[in-house]
Formats: sequence, C-alpha cells, structure tokens
Amino acid sequence: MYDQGIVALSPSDVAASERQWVGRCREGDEVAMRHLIDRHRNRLVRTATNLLRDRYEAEDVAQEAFLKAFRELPKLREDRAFAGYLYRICVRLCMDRLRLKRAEVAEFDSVQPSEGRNIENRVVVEKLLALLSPELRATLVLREMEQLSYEEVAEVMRVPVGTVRSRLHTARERFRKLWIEAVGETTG
Amino acid sequence: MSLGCRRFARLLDLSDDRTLSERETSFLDAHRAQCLACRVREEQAAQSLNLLREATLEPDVSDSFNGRILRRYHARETADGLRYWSPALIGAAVAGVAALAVLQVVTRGSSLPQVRVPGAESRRYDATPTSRMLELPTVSRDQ
Repeated sequence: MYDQGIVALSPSDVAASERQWVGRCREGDEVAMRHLIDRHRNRLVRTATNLLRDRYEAEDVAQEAFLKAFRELPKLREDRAFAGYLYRICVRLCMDRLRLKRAEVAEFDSVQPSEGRNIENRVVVEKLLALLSPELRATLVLREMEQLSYEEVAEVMRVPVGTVRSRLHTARERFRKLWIEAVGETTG
Repeated sequence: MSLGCRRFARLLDLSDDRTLSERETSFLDAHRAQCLACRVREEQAAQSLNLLREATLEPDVSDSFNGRILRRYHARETADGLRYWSPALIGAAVAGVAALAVLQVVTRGSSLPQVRVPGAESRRYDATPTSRMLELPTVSRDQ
C-alpha cells in the first residue's frame, strides 16, 4: 500500500514515520503535508489514471482526495491508517466520477500514449472498460492493473471478499465477451 | 454449460486467489484435455486479461501537483474561516447599525422644533430680584 520509494524501510519504521508525519499534518504543518503528498501521490495518480483513463482528471481526483483526507484528519482514529484511508477516498471519488460519465463514450484523445505501447489496444481496452459498470470496472482494474490482493480490493471498496470474488468473475467474463465482440467487429 | 465446465470455470477463478490443491489441479488438467469449449474460453480469458494488463498506464505527476493541493487547501481554509465567523460578523454588523440608529434618534431628539400650544406655554419670569417685586410704593413725606 506504500510507494516503492520507501520499501527499503522496514514496515514498522514506515508505520512510525507515517504516524509522525500525519500527527504533524493534523496540527496544520505544511511541511508534513508536502511530505505526505510526495509519499503517496504517484500511487494515487496512477490508480486514478487507470480507473478513469484520463491523466488530467486523475490528477484532479487525486488532489481532491488529498484535500478531503487532510480536512478529515481529525476523524481518523489511527494515524498509521492514513495511507489506506487516502487510497479509499481516491477510489471512491473515481467511482463517483465513473458513475457520472457512465453514459459518455470513451474518447481517443483521453489516452496518454507512451513509448513501446500499442495505442490501438489501449483504445480498445478503454472502450471495453467504459462498457462495464463502475463497480465491475473498479474491481477489475484494482486487481489486474494495480495488482491488489482480494483482501485489499475488499478493504478499499468496503465490500466482503466474497463480493470481490463474484464481481471479479463477472467482470472478467464480461470483459472477455466484449473483447471477443470487439475483435470480431474489427476482423470481420 | 455442463456441471464439469462450471467447476472448471470456478476453479480457474480460484486459482487466481489461492493455490489449488493437487486434486483440483488434476481436475483442471483432465477437463482441459477433454473440453474444447473450456479450452477456448480459457485462452480467450487469458488473452483479454493480458490486453488489459498491457494497457496499464504509468503517468508522470505534474510538477505543480503539490502546489495546487496546498493552494486549494488554504483557499478552503479561508472560506471555512469566513463561514465560521460569518454569523458573528453579521451579528456585529446588525448591532452596529442598531447602535447608530439609536444614536441618531437621541441626537436628533434634542434639536426638534418646539411646538407652541396656546395656553400651554411655560411662563417665563424675568430675572428680577424678588425684593424688587415685593417693593412697596414709596410715600413721600411731603404728602
């Protein structure tokens, strides 16, 4: 659940450090805020981008998540739970956005091209993901792209692990069928 | 979909979550060998999921990211502060206006035009000494 840059520290060190920074942030310390943003922003923006398939919107959502987390810090009982709390807020905000633009058709220019990637495939994936419900889409992305465990997906989405299993099954099956249809359309 | 095919699909899903037992693995192998439909479905599922994983985006976060969050944070703090103090500010403003109105009434009250009602005016006496009013007529000795 943490950025790769701090993996070198032991989990207890990370937790202690996190607790310290969150405590300072609670008192309105801007340096602590900057530190927490630096620590978590990459992961948040990455997840939001993969969920929303739009880098700019993802940054906006990630910023909103940080703001919400900072404002609601007094409600957080355990400072060490900040990372998970922040991540949950971000995923929830992404799902809210997905629900809002469910009817919209995915557009080509929202894909961010980079070297060595097949843009056509990305567009196909984006269009297929747009056809899934926000719940199925988020479950699939968190598991397959973000590589969260079933338990982590359940925790982030606040549902039982059994629900994650069934959603994943449905999402994979629907994605497969949609992909077959899409491939059939392009080849046929 | 037969019972065996359903079990095959369920076990394939489970294999993603946990390590399958030997018995479960051997069932998968046996079913895979005999059922073409399940083999094709498994292959398609693997291909579509590979496509999905390959489409994972690794965005770079823009340089202004941190600054924008802090700016928005401070702007909201200011707005919240205003919202918190606004009832007090409004109350103070209303009290100020009321105080001004009262002052106005009091100061204007002293400079109001005097209305004279006949017979009701106050009598003013000259500032003559009382001894003069009680002065008796003088009688000359000659008389």
